[in-house]
Amino acid sequence: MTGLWRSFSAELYLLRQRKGFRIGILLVAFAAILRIGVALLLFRLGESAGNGGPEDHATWNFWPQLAHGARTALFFAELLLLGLVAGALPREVDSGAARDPFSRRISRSAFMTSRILSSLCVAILFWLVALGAAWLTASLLFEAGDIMEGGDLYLEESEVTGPIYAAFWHALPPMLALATLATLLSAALRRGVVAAGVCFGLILLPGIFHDTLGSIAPWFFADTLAGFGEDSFLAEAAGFASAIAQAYPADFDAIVEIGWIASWPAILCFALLALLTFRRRPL
Amino acid sequence: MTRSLSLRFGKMDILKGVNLQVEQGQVYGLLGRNGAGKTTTLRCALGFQPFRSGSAEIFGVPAQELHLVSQQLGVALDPPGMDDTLTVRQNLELARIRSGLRAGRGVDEALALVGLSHRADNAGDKLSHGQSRRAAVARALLGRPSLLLLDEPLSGLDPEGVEVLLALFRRLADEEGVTVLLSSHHLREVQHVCDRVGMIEQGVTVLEGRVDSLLQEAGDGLRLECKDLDRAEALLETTTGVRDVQRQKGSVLRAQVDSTFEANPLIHALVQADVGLSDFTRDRANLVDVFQRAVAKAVQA
Repeated sequence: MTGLWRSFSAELYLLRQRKGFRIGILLVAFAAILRIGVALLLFRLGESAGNGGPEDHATWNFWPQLAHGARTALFFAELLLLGLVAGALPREVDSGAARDPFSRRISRSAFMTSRILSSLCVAILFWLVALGAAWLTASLLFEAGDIMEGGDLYLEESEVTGPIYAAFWHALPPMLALATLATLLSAALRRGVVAAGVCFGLILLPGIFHDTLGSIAPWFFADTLAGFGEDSFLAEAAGFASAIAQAYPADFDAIVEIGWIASWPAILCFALLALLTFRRRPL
Repeated sequence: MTRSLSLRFGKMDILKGVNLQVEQGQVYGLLGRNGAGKTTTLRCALGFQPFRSGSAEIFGVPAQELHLVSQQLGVALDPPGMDDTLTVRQNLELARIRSGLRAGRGVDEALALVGLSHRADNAGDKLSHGQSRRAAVARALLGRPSLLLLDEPLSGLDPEGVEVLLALFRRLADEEGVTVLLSSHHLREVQHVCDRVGMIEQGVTVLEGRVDSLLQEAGDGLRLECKDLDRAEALLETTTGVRDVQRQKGSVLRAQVDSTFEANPLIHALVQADVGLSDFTRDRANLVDVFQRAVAKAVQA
């Protein structure tokens, strides 16, 4: 077995055994369940107060609830991802646990590559859990079908599914970029709290300077993060399915296109920097 | 293993010339006080700490390319590096996966060797300091390594634990031909198991050699308490095998003798000479004395 394969197998074992990751998965799922459950409760209260039923509100439908639930879960997933990934390596270096692989015929490059791959696995796992939990809860509590607003047909179901499915796929690359950025910072900084804090600050930056950045904002992967991003496709899709008139404007398609390709170079760049940074780090 | 190793942090020289040569199948003690540079030397040798000049090799492979060493290594540095979020067994299992071990010493056997089987399912943060050390040693023992590098493995252990580990290291070297390099500041304890020692002080090797030769060279210490110091001193100075006679406070004389020196005839002569001998003590040579003398010599030089 090569050093990379042995190291990656060990990383997967760590993911299976660490309580932090298991709790993270539960929290992501719980966020979706809570968001959709609370929505149903509020609708029921509104209905009993005479504010109309499923025919009157677009949001009383499976599709908008799925999008909103998934977005809430992905918000927590992004937060947990940066905390768990950015904090892990500095803690291991501090305790001396990070030295063990290198006495077992594993090179620093192989270790860091496996650490990047495992962080990508965590991102994919969180993404799947967020979507799965939102899907399951929304399908249990709400009915799918055409979107009705004020008793009239607002959108046919087939018009809504496309943007929502696309938004789900588009949520993944920025999350992968976030995982790689968190790994880079964990390789570069000595303290986990600082690494997570810097990572958090960096993903907030495109939102803070969104107006200044203008049309180049979507080129920063964090701008299109499903949870935190200012140009979150999922937020737009959720708004569109909820009959918010200004959501998903025609020119948003251009942003979507940029967002789909912008994350991949960032992933590559962060991964290379992480490998270079970790090569000479004292352990 | 290391040659003229030097390391500098900012303006401070941490290592200024550490030379160690460890032969296969030996138990080698890297000795020195706290902060002498033992851990840093091991970290440099393993490639965990970049160094300024010199060279460090394990099985002929430079420190930075340690992953190219084909033999199994067992390493337990300070701090022990147990993942607190995992149990002891999971920590060892993780190491086993990293090593790709399918044969050799397994997790249960390694834990049994260090007497930690009963703590296998305890989380890392539920272990005492000494138990963490033992768990780290167990992890280093996985898969029958041919070289064990252990940094302060005795630190925090109870006397029984110290004996168990020292006996284990000796047995591994004698029966399995394992090379054991252990760093320690417990000089008295390790002198009974080490074949060879290297002593470092302030980042410099001050002495290196076989333990038996060093102890023989150092000789035993004699302490005499008597009334007639002049006559006793004269007698000691003319006795073959006695050297470095010194008067101390009160009515005490100190001298050095070879480890093979026969003391009974001297005692007899002192009594015959009527020097008023009230106490005669012989201190067997130990590594603490050897170390102190080596450090004093290095400071003078």
